Amino acid sequence: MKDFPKNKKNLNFSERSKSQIDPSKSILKKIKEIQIVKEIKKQQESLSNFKEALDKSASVIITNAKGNIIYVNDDFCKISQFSKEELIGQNSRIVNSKFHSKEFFKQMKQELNQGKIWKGDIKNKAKDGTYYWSKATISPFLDEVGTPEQFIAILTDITNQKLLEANLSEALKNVRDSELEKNEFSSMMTHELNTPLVPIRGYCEMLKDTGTFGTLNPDQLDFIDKIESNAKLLERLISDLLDVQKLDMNKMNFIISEFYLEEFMDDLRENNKHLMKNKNIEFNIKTPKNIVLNSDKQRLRQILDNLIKNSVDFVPAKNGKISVEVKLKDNNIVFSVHDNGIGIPKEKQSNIFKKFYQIDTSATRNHGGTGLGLVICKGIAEGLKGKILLESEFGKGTSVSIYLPAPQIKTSFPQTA
Amino acid sequence: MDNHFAIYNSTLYYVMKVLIVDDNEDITGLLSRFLKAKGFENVVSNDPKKGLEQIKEKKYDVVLLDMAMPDFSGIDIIETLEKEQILKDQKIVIFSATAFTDSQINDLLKKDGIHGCLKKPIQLSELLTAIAN
Repeated sequence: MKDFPKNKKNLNFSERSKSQIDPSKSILKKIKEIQIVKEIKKQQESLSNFKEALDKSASVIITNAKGNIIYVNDDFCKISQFSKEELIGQNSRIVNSKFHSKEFFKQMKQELNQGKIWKGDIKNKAKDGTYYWSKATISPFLDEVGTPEQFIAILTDITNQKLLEANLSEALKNVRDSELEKNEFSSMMTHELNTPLVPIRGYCEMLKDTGTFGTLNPDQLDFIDKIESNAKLLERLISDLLDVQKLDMNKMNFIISEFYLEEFMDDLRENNKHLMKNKNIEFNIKTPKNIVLNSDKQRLRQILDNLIKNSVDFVPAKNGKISVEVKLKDNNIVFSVHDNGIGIPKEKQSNIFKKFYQIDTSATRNHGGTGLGLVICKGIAEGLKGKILLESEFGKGTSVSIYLPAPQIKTSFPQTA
Repeated sequence: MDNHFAIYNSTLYYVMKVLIVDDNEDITGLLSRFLKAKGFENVVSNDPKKGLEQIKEKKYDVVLLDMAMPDFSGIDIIETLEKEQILKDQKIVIFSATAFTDSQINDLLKKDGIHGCLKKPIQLSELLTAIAN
């Protein structure tokens, strides 16, 4: 446009020229020719820019229909370590690494012969026998009847990427292997740890069976109680470890059955009655009537036992209060364990469901455990398609709620209990 | 099968015979002494292969079988009995090792011939209930 003055008259110049008999026809023709030449130059320039860009960023190789090389760029020579003279006229098999199967090349040929563009990763062999990986795009140039007469391959070097991938997958395999080993190890360990507990617990039970095995004095009975309660603690820790391992391996199975909520909660109340009385804790259970749950009774009980045990350890020595409340809420059944214990500081609440986390790590803490209890509760709740929520205010108390979804609620009684 | 009877408080009782198969001598020792004190006759086998032969003799009312034994496990014993189609004639109570998953145990309990499962550490009172059942 620069060559034409920018006024309206001249802009319409070519329009008018058509209808006129021409003294200026040859001038117009000349101008058009100049325009065409300019256009071609522009396209050539743009093509050469493309070629330069392509040559700088990728290897280019052109072959005839038989696969004999008719063009290579410098980049291809550099990566394959062959000179242009060594390559031109040779079959492209000169860089074949023999890594790929015959099937691989057969499929590639099939697609190209159908006029399609083939894309994929190819491993090639350089002159010195080393291998390199290229991401390739191969396009066929078709003749008038649609048969490929030439192929152009544009290759980018991805050797480093492939190396990284290989390293990564090797590393992943190692992680998986060691994870498996770790799990096998801990599975074996939990068994080995449990075995000695059998005679320890068993002989304690026998010694306390004074009717069968004779009497003990009160001190001796007390010692046996101490041995037994510690063995039980050890047993619980082992069982926690095993549960976490099952959750980690996704191997925890749930046995779903129908059961009465009220009976279930009565049982919970009965089982905790003595403990609460001994510790002077006010223990309340509030539960709706006429509900049949369809869930894993034992695992649900395990969660509640765990939460209650936590509360027992954290309520004040005087006027301790624990309540378990069951509510129906938005198609969920919610089990909440509330206590008036020391509570959990805000900044520590996000860690509470992490493995081995203990809020109080001091030697004088009165809450012993593996730091796995809440991890297991969360795992079980999620395994039952529910969730666990914690609300706590430091100094005031803690509530932990388990939400179980609607399919586990029935409001009618089954025929048999 | 030889029947054993005992007289207690002028009443004639049938004495149950129990076979205990577990490689751990401390455990078989405990169970044997406990069962003897509770009036059960019992035989101990710490060698699983010998245990299998003893099970085949069918002299026992109940077999207590440990699952996790090295070389020849309780599972191997059960599989052998199953292959020989004599598992269904047995009254076996298994001790589950912790290494077994809940579903593995449930699968075992579905088999005829396996009547109960005690999880280790076993409570002796539970053992009596399992034998009685």
